[in-house]
Amino acid sequence: MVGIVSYGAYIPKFRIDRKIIYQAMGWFDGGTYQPGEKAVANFDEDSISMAVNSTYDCLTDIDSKDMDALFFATTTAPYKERLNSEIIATACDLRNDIRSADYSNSVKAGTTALLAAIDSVKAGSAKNVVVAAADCRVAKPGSSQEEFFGDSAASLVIGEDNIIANLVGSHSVSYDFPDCWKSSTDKYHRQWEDRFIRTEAYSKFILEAISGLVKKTGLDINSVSKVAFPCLYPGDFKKIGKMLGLGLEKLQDPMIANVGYTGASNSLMLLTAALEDAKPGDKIIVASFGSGSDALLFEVTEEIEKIKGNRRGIKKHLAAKKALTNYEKMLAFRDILPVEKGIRGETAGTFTSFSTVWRERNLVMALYGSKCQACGTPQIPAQRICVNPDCGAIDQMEPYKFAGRKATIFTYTGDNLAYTPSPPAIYCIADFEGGGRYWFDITDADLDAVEVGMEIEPTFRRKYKDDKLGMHIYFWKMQPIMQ
Amino acid sequence: MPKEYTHQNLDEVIYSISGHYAIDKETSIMFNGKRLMYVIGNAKIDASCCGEGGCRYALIPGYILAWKETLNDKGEFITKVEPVKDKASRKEIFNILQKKEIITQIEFW
Amino acid sequence: MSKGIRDKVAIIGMGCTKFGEHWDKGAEDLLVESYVEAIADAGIEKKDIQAVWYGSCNDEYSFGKSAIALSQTLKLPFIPVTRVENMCATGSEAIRGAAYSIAAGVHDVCLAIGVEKLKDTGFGGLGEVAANSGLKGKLILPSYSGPGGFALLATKYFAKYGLSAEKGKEVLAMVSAKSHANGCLNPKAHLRKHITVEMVMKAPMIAWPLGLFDCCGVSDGSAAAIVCRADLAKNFRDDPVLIKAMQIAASSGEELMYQGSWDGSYVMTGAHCAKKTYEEAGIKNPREEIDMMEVHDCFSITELVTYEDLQISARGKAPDDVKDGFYNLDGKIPCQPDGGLKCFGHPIGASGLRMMYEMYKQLQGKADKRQLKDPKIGLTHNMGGVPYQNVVSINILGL
Repeated sequence: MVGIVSYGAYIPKFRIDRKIIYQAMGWFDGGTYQPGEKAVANFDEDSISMAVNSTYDCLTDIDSKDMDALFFATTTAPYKERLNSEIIATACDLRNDIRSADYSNSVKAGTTALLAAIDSVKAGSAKNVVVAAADCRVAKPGSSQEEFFGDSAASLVIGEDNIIANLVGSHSVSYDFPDCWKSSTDKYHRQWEDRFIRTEAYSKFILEAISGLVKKTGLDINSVSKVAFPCLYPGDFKKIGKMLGLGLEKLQDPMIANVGYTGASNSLMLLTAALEDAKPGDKIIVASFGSGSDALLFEVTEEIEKIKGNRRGIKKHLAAKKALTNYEKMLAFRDILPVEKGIRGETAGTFTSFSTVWRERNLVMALYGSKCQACGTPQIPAQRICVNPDCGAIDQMEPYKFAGRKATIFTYTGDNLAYTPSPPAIYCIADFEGGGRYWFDITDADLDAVEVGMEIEPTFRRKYKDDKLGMHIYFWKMQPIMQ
Repeated sequence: MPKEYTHQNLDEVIYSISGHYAIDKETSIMFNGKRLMYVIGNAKIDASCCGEGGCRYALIPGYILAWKETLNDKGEFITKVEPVKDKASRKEIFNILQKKEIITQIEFW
Repeated sequence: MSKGIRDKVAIIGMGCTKFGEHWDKGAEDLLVESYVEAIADAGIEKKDIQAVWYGSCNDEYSFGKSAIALSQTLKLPFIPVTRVENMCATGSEAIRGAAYSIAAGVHDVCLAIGVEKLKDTGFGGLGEVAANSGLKGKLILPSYSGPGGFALLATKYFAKYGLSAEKGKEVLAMVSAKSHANGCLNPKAHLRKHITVEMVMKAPMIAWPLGLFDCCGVSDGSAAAIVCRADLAKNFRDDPVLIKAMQIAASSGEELMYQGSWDGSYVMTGAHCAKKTYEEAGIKNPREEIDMMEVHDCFSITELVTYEDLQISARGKAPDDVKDGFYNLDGKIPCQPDGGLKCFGHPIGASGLRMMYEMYKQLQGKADKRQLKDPKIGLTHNMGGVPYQNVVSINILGL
């Protein structure tokens, strides 16, 4: 058998009330208003960083070294050349004798990657495959998409042991339907008129894929507990359900009102939400949309009880939110509004060295330090000579991973002078549980909520973007522990 | 413990080696049945050894006990104030001023 | 058994430019000015100088990282010139190199000179610290600034000794006000303005609890010293100043990377360095034996904590000494008689030598309006870095 072994999710903490966007841009196009709020990635987040954090959630109690492949699905890959999935695999501390691949260019890519993972396991070329989907799409100010698009990530492990949901079957349809597109140089999403997309594609493809699946598997649609698929148009969303013979209660909440339409990660996010509420025996259909549709049917097993409650998943991320009350801040975070960095910001500093990134990949990507085998002191960055003043042993270190370890704040400050896209810069000296101390940026926190002794944890972020050299550089920051 | 606030000429620029500031408004609001004094300042940090920045800020000396009660030897007025100490009031004042004034920083005496 | 440097080396001449925003002067101009004053003061000629130690920190802004710029500027005749850099203690490091060479018996007369030209960058302050901390540092260091680093020290100090935010800020304001009062008397200072505690308390925060007046500024400037063998010093002048101790300590990494004994409320290097300095100078009771000092007041909290690291104020008692006026110009141990970094700004390569310039002039009784009564022993303290990773240089000069 092949199926889902684990799930995890990541939703950025910032939520912006769509009223704020409408108040700022409604003068331009009064027809954009949508109710609710959407999730907005912080300035230090992108599809890679969100995928890493959701994969850590997914691998909470699973050894990353047991994974044989990592597939990444997104339409907003930071790099066009340099394997985005392998950046994620390195940050998630996977082995090197694995396969990694990017699935892209359609918001359907999430289920495409999922099907590819299933096929790899079925074919026997991998025992466990991570599928990570994330998107962080940028829409032009004043467009409906600006309010509609949200940012998120979801990750699954596909394997053959400890399955929480068995794959029953799948059915795919593919069409070169030009509903939306980006050329190789476009920053913003473009799309044809909504009426065309609604009538010619949205209301047809999902239906066709699910109907094909039902037929193929001989499924009694009434036995299905949840059907999860993206909601591009609320009226047609319900209509698709109706035509399938499904009541509203069988449709998975598409989370438009609290997260937004999250592109390539949407289907896997909805599937994860469905799994969180599922009980053994439940049948769940997930379908995607974009250049066609993939539909998959899963049947939940007893194993699901074992992982329930020990993932952050969708629910905890939905609860851990912070209001973004400033429209311009959202624009500045996505480089839509250029802010003055000053001559200091523009000219100061050395260049980024990729050979250094490569040599230091264990530290930079997976937050490895070392542990002294003589005295047991963990230390970061990894040292050749032990930092414990009473030890000082030379070259008796073993690798020691700090990612996933809690820490407490030894001391901190909020700094109004240091350059950051979101002042003040908050940083601290962090004492790790079990030993080890270093200083880190603190992200996703309000200065007045930070205090000495507070518990924090590492989170993977984009440290900076080197626009001159086209580099996206990642490292770990600290965030208040998510309850 | 009461403190003394020395009134300075509004818009008079006070220089430090790392930057400068000026108080451009002296005002008060009623809060908890008492009159609370605050001033609004503008600061520019343009020559600190460690960076650049600036802010428009509110400084809250405290509840007014005696407005411009005395003069100091330079002929400047002095107001006696009671600084706001309790956290709950500070938080509430913070919220009020953040809505009422265009500022990025609030400091209590 | 080595006996250290005590009484082996004398300073026979010093020079120091006016510090400030010298839009009309380059690093070359500043170097020539301090050099000319120093050799004139020593009564020597260029040919008497056998070797040079040249300190500059951010030399990429002035004329490149090498000693040649200096030898060409001063037209030095094919003699050894060494460029040194040790963060904000660069100026002190320059004279340490020169003095050690003389103590080692290699040279008889050397020049130590430091400069920093910071006002050509197009921005206030130094460059991005994290971005200039090497190619690995750029990848992992947080976005930080000096005030933020020292704010960490302030909050720990306040917490440890139960100082309320209000009381703490007031003590820091008094530290600043005292230095500004002294700086007003000094024609070479960058900022010569009286400030009141009230003015400090009305200024905004830069990195809580450090406000506008707690932070020093950037300046351009240069300072220089001629050092020679102590036994030859009287050949040059009647009132040479002797080096009694010259120590520097650098962080081991313990503060930042090890959960050890350090509680964050003081500077470990400062405490270690002070102990060694007093041993070298033969000082048993610094509070009684030291007459005056110039310390690294990049931030007011640095000065406050330094009083204790130097064992002059007892731990936690520096605020009491500040309130008692112990460190004022008319106090028991005047600190920053020249106005300190608060009034001079901080041209990094020059600051350590600028501190010594004041001690040197005071010991010779040539400090004009700031002249203290008959000082015999002066101390300089020059720190580079942030409280949890830094270098601290402490030096003692005497007659």
